[in-house]
Amino acid sequence: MSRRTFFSYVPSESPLVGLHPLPKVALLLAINLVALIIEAPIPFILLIAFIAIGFKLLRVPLIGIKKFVIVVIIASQAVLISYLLGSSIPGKHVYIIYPWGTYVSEMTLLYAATMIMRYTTMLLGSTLILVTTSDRDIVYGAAALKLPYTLSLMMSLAFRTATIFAEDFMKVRDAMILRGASFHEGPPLERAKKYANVFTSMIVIALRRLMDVAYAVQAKGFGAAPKRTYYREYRLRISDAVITALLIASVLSAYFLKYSVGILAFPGWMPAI
Amino acid sequence: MGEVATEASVKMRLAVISGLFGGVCATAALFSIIIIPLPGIPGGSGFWIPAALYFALTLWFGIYGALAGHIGTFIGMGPFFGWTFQVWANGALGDFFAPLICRAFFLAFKADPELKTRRDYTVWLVSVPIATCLAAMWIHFVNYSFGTITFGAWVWGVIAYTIGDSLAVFTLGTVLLKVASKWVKTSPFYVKGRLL
Repeated sequence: MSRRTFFSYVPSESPLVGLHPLPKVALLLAINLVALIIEAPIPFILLIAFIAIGFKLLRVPLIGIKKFVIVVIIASQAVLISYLLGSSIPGKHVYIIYPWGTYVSEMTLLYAATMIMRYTTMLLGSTLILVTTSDRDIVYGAAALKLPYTLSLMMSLAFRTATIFAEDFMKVRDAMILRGASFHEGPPLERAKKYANVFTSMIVIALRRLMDVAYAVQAKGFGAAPKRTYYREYRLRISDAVITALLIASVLSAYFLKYSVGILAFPGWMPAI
Repeated sequence: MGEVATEASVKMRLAVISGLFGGVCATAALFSIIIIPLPGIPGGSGFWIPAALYFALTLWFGIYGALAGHIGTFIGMGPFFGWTFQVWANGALGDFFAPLICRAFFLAFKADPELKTRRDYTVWLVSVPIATCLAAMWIHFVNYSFGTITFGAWVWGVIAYTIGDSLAVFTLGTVLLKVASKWVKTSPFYVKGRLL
């Protein structure tokens, strides 16, 4: 049996599928925060390897990652251009000195590579969690975390209506093309104005749909009772609490290791922020 | 309609505004990235269509319109940039407070989103670049903090973002406000005179 999530189908046996939303949120935050704290290349290599093993052990399909490889390549270009042209990181060998004062040393290359690894870690870690998450998880997760119900309703509606509005957009645009409009010709400002017309129609469609949904939500009694009951119950088990505590500890340890021991800091250079 | 709206029903309606228009903004974000991508910047676009939407939405629906921009940007950028903490902290959070700054200007100077008078236009023309510039500073500060860009790129990023976003807001947003404001005002969802 598989379960449909935002990205793909995930085997029901995957330990992440049944995980309580609290450790899932904690895992998402922990990976991002630890990646933000670390600045040394080798811990990043270990962390990326650890997440890759996580994909295998947690039986998360790799289909979600493939398209992100392209994203990593594109982002790497931006990071490299930024550091190769606009940084001054001291090193033993200086390869190029630019007229505007910045230069490229071997440490520039190492630091840029480390920043690419930071980005890759965050991307992989977030994908690991979100590939096993469905919109139901978000709605029930917010409820389990005692967040206001309206927040989860907003998120759920946005996820569900995005595909509907994408279809509306295509319909309106096609209708305009059939009436002689061209979105590929003319100066950029002219084309932008045509898109403005598409989105004006979209706003009208959205407002009509807004009324339907708002009245449906009201008719179903949402928000009428101060305390809601739910069809499904997410119970926080001891294992969930232990995982969450370990994740919080990992963030604190990373902070301590960087700022007190210096293990996770970039060797030989400290950035301004 | 002759209905009596309770406090709870109003709250749910406003949540529906954010959710539904969050979907619209996400769609707009996806198309912006596909139609006018920025080379080298995944999830970036040279013409950020959702900016026009959430500026107009915030002038109509207050903070719920800004929330729509926040949710929409996060969902829209996710498939291209990943749903990371960095994306949430820079684009999504920047797109949340930028339109609120613009709305604060409108409330402070009692300007009308229909852009009827010269004063309305002046407030619109002044508030949008200020709001986008502040958002750009925040967004690129986050990118700088995450190590994705250097300080040199921060300066250029702020300039490029302010110009690009302001252009998108002026081109699309002005049309939206002029054409749709009158219609939106007749709906029971229009929020007048409140920032939050």
